[in-house]
Amino acid sequence: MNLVEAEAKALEEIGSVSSLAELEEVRLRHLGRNGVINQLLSEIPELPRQEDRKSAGEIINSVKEKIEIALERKDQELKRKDLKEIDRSSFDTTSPGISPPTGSVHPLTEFREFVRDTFSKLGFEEVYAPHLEEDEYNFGLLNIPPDHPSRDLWDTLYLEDGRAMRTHTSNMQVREMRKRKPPIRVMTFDRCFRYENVDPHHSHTFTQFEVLYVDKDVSMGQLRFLSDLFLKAVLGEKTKTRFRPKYYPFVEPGVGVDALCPFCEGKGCRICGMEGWFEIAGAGLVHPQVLRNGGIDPKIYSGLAWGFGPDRMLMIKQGIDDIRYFYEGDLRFLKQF
Amino acid sequence: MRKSAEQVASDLSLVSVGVEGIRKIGSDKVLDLDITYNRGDLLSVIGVARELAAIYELPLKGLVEKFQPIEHLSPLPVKNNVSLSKLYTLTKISELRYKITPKQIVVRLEAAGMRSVNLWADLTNYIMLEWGQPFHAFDAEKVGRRDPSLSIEIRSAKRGEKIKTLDGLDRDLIEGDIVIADKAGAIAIAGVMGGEETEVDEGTTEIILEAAIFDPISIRRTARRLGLRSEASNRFEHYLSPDNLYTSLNKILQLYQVYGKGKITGFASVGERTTEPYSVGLTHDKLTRVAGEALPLSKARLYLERLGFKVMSSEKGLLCWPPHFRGDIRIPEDVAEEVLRLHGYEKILSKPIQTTLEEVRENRQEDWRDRVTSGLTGNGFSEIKTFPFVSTAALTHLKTKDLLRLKNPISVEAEYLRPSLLLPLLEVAKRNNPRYIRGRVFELEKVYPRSGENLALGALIWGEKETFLGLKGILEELGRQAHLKLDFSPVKEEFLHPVKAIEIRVGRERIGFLGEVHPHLAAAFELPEAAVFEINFEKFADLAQTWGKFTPIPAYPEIFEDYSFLLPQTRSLADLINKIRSSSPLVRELEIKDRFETKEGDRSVTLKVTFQSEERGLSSEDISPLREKIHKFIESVGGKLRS
Repeated sequence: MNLVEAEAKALEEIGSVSSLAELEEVRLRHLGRNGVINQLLSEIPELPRQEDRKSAGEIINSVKEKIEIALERKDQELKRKDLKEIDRSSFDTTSPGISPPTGSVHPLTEFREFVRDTFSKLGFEEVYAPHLEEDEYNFGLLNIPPDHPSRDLWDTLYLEDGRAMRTHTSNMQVREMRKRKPPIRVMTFDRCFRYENVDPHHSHTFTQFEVLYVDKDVSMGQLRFLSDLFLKAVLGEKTKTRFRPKYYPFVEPGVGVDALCPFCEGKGCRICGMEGWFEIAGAGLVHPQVLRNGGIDPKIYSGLAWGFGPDRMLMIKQGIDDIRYFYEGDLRFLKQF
Repeated sequence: MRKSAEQVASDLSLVSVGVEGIRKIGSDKVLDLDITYNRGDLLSVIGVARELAAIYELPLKGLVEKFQPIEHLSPLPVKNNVSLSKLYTLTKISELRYKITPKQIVVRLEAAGMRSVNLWADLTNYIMLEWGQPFHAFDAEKVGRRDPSLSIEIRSAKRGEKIKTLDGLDRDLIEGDIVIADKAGAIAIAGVMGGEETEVDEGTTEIILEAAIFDPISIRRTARRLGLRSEASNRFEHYLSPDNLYTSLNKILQLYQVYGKGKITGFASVGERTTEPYSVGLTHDKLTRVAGEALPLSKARLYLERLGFKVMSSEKGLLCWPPHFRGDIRIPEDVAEEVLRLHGYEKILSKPIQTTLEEVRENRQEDWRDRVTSGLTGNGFSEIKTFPFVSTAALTHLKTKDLLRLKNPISVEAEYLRPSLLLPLLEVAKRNNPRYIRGRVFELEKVYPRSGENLALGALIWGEKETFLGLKGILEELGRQAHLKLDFSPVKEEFLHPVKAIEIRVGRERIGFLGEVHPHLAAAFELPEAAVFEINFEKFADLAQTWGKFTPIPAYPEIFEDYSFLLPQTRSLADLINKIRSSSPLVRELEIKDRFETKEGDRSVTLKVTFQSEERGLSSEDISPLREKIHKFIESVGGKLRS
């Protein structure tokens, strides 16, 4: 192809393009590394005479320049046109955004993280104990011998091999005492099981949170401190706590911890059943025999145990009216969290 | 001093035991108490009165009964075994004349949830409610017909022994059940129910009245086994006081004399006549350590005396003798609790924890639990929590024998412990499926195979395109987060697709499986295409690496090339990728840019390969031999290059 043809072809092509992308293709075809112009320029060194090389260079470059100008003009023209088109286009910006895949964390997991954060600030370490447990750890070592009437507090599910499904997270107490030396600050947030039919307020599978603190001079005062601290964190600064006598064979004294109803502030409302208070946690000072069972000398050390049922607490806090929602996997429930 | 029922209920619940509710009966109000095991003494009107007297600092009137001497009466032949019955008494009341039970007694029995039977039985229940001591009345004439000598024995039941109880049912007894027997056999199951043959009725004119304290554990076991738990057996399961027995016996004998015009003609007792007093010491130091603050011992002493304790001050502190009816006071902590609850728990001041800081051990499982949970929920998964049980019916899908069975399942729906998360995941998908045509769920909870409970992570997606590859991608991402190289190899599992199923390994360790749910199983759960994985989360967390390692980013520019080709499903794309990756140190990255199924049903793949050197800029001369090599690789595994 000679130069004249190349110029004519380039200008013609530039004239007929209708988009910026096409224009870029045309530019590459003509001015690109393998384009006609560059080919011609690369052939210059082969011309024998110096002045021919010079004039050829000038002529080719002037054509190149013409093409460049035409390209530039076309570019400007297309951009103007493009802008007009963009201006004229319409788009509904009120249309809702495209949803990313939406997952959800189970409310009990969210709560677990909250509780763990609150207590880990006080140096409590998270521990686990088996769900399928020896009778000793679930009962015997906690002052609940076989056939003892106090076992009626727990309707227990047993395996054929004789083990129990643990009825409370307290099976961690003696296990942890035997593993550690005071001061002991451990917590657990896990599942427990009872022989119970499932209905809106009961479930054979439920969750407990429990802390165990063993040190010198652990007293009811610290039990008050932990109760206040935690219940304020969950139910708000306005809540108050109170203790009532309560019996658990593995603590002495044993108390039930009530929280002032955060909805009516103690006046009595439908949520708290007109009581003004919620029974929320069980606690006490570790029974000296349980300390001894854990290899700890009750003459030197004392301990406290404090626990509550996260299912029930969440039901109160989030207004959930049926415990089964936690365990049925209904996405209409789960995706709310 | 007058208090409303509501005030009394509130005070009792803060100082003594819980109050479940207040009922109105006529003009009276009845409090229903939630008596804890340690406070058996409160299973009586008198017991609650004692407690209220202590709370309100009032004297308790009319309690000290003069015991009428009955020992001189003609003795009855009784044989007792004190390991079965700590104290056993029989009193014979003769010349009784029946009349109907006074209305006030009937009303009170009914208020306590008991019904009136006949005067003789009603009086035993009435005094039991008042004093907490159960009684049983035998018709002496009926006993005499069986055994004229009236020789009563307390013994353990014999193997194969039977008795027809008051409710007309034949009961099989076992060794360890305590029975009251005459020479002809058992006439009552001690503490649980009397025999029909010796039952009192309106025609009864002579009664042998039993007042006893039995072994609580045995009574409980028998009552539970026979499903015969009653107001009486409940009281026998708690601590009963011999002193209280005699006082209440005195009281009931008065009633038999007043309402039944009877005469007391015989008496026998075997066992401990009174509780041997014992003392528990409470030092000031102990009280302070329990309360968290110093409480004057003088104050403590007053509280204890209000509760009926005898208290002596000693050098070390207080020496306390609990009242006879409080069998639960055994150790200094018990005494401290008494002091504090009377003092008022609301007065206990908050005391911050002061302790030495100890190193808190790293908790990998917990850390990874958080990471994986946020990783999965970020990828559109909803976390579920399900019950640990599986039904026999559901297990037919699993075809496994690796199961733990419950001894006392709540129902056939919950007979076994789940060995894996598969069934709960499928059940949840089924529950949501028509409402959510596609979904992603996961559970991170315990499973219970025979080999031992462990924490498992299971995830299931349904209704999406390419469920297998979609879920595999999620798992690979978890692996990347944990800086773990996951290896996969085909696996056969009954519940997985015959072809689309792999096991997951880290090195040689198998940590789980992934696969499309077998189409028949998916259909059984009314699901569209679904894929599932389950891994042993404890192993995963153990192997996971928190910290990755930085690889320097070369300063020289990269060159990108795309390779498009068709590859049959019978050939391994992973192998091809590995081959290309290891073909030259200049191959820096490799990514699947595109993959789809062509109209003809072939798998079309576009790989984007990044070439880069750590030492210099690359030219087309560097690339073209590599390109040749890659083309050959593709062809050698049966790929067909597309132009």
